[in-house]
Amino acid sequence: MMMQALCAEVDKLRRAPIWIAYVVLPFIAAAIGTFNYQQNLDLLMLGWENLWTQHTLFEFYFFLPALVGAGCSWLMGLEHAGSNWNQLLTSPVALWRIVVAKLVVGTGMLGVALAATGALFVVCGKMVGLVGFPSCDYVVYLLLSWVGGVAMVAVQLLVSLVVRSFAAPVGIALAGSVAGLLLSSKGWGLWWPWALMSLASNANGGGTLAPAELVRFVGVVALFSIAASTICALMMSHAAATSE
Amino acid sequence: MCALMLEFAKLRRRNVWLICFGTAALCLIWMASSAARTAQGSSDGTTSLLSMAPIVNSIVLTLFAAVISSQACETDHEAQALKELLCLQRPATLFAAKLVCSLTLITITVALETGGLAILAAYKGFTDQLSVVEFAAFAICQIGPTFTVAAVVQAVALRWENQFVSLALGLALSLAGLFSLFFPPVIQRLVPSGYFGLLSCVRMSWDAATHVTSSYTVPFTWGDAVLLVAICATVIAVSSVWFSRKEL
Amino acid sequence: MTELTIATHALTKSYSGTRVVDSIELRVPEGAVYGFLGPNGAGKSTTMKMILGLVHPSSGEVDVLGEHMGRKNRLEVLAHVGSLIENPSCYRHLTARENLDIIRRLKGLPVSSIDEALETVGLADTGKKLAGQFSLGMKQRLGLAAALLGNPKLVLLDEPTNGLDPEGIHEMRALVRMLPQTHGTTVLVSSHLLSEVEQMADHVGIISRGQMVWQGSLKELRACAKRQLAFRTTDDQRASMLLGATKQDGWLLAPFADDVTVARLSLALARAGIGVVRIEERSESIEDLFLAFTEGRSL
Repeated sequence: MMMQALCAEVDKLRRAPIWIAYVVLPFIAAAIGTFNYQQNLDLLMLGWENLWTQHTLFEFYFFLPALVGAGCSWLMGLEHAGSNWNQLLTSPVALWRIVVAKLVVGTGMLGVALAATGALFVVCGKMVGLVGFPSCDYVVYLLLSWVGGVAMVAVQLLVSLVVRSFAAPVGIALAGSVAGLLLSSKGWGLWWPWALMSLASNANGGGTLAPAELVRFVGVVALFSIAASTICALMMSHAAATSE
Repeated sequence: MCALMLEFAKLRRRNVWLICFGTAALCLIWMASSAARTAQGSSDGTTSLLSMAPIVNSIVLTLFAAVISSQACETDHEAQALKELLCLQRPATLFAAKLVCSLTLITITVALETGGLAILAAYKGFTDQLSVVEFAAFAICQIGPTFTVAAVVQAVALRWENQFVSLALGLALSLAGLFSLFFPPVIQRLVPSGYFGLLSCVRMSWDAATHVTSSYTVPFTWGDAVLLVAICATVIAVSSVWFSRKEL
Repeated sequence: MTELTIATHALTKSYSGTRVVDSIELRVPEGAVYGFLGPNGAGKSTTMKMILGLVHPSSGEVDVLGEHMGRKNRLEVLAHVGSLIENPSCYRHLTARENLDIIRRLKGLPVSSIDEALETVGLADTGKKLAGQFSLGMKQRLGLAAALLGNPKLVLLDEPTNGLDPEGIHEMRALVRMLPQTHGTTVLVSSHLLSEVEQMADHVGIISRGQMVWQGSLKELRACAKRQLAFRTTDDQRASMLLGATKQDGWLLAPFADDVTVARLSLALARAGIGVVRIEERSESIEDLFLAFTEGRSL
């Protein structure tokens, strides 16, 4: 049953290859970031750390969350179009499975972006002549970012369900990210779903999560993901029940 | 005019005003949070406040332009109304009406943002206050690039039903624009949101030796303004013809 | 000669080399309900879109309401035309009234026309309900109301009974049938259901694989039906030779003949000692005609 729901979502993805955007965005960030790094070698210190910041600062703080918002709008879009609620109700797959399937696909697409970011980071670093390879820390950053991103995907799915337009949730994602930036500077970042990914990523060079914070981090991710997904499923079943 | 009123009628209950207020508020909060660090009554407070504008606006206003452009077009796509509307309106009229609708919303949002900045500067008692004319000029320099982005996004949003493409484009433009602010002017001219930096009279410089960021004013670059208008006009002309050719 | 509301001349549309509409010569007389009949994918919607100028023909011309349709006069002519093509257009966050108001303002009609149209389709009491909450049938009726707004001279309806319940279908057909009488409107209605066209239309055009295979009034269509005589006798073997008939399902089928000939035949059978049990007149049903036409039988 779960596989059925998952396969349905992947099928939609095959017909509309929006995941390409999840590779293009890191590519643009990497290209321009590398160029910027090269131009400012006198100002910045050489090294993988600064290249990482150049690549990921803007991407993780603003644009990847917004892209995730767009992806979640797309994932929810088919449920809005043509009022598929009757179909949902008669489908043998339980609604929560549909929500989880969307969550999995959304997280998967985010994973594509993160993997692309990592790959491009190594490639560009070698191209500008950085010695050796980046430390394993960066893999940890990416993995933690992915975990943090799950909360954001779940919350954005809920936003896209509630807000019926395609574009508005993307704006909300950006607003959430900016708010996350401001909250993080005050130390509240760990409680805000949109800030979790960027906190874990060390995009601003300020270091990633301390080991002590990891438990809280995972807990908050789980809290937001489960809460948002549950509300999604409840809302969908309510809508399906109240339509004819 | 009638066509423009119809565009607003179609956006009823879509809470576009919320998007406008939210965007202006977001910009203000962001800029205010850095202004909070500036001392009360500072002599270059307003200038340093305005120097943040290109960065904040190239992220927020560019995406805002993409969102409202996409929203205006999505309304017709979702209603499957284009085939009915184009029996009663010329494609060019519909296209223009949507552009003017976006322009109106952009102008209102930028006016709110500028007004908010003026109030903030007055509240903090900055001594380098700008006159109304100068604030108005600032506002126009924000409207220009934002509207150009809206025009580009609209071209894509009207042509394709799936709004993911138009929003991804908006994001790409926003990212490119933001980065371009750290590049020489020739790069900035290539991207619409780069003009947030080019048309700004306030520039930032970072002194590597003293690690101090300071802002300075430059005269208005009329050449870049003309270039932006030319780019915008070209985009509108080409995409209008492109849309007129679309078969339903 | 009656005025033609719609006349197309060699109207053709090709997509990547395939002709989806091939030299259609449509003739819709004024005041008619013209049933545009054809299987799914035959080219009905494309033809209707070309009439409205939503799709540019690869070649050929269209005349609507006596005017040659071109870029310049297209909107002027279409101000007198209402249409419902494919899915009805419907802004889900607006009420029925607000939806129609958009069309009303574009056509420059008075506010009363909205009430009139809603009354006609039976949506007058939806009040503040948003169109997104309408059932499929209500949305279809809203689309029809938009097409009928302001009592246009010509209405193009593409499968208007789609998604309606049986009662709704019945109402819609009755409504369409009466439009020429109640409002002097000419109607072009497309359908893939022959029975529907038979009930609503007085003129028929049959299209198959992009080509117009038959066009004329419903009476003329019925007259095309092949007629035969069917006999059952006490000795079919010998009777078939006498009648020159073919056997089928226990009946002998002979070509149609007038009363005098039939009388002679029955007497001939009696003289040969064969008793005539049944004589029936068989007429090809319109369904059979339709199938035959769409499979390429020419008249």
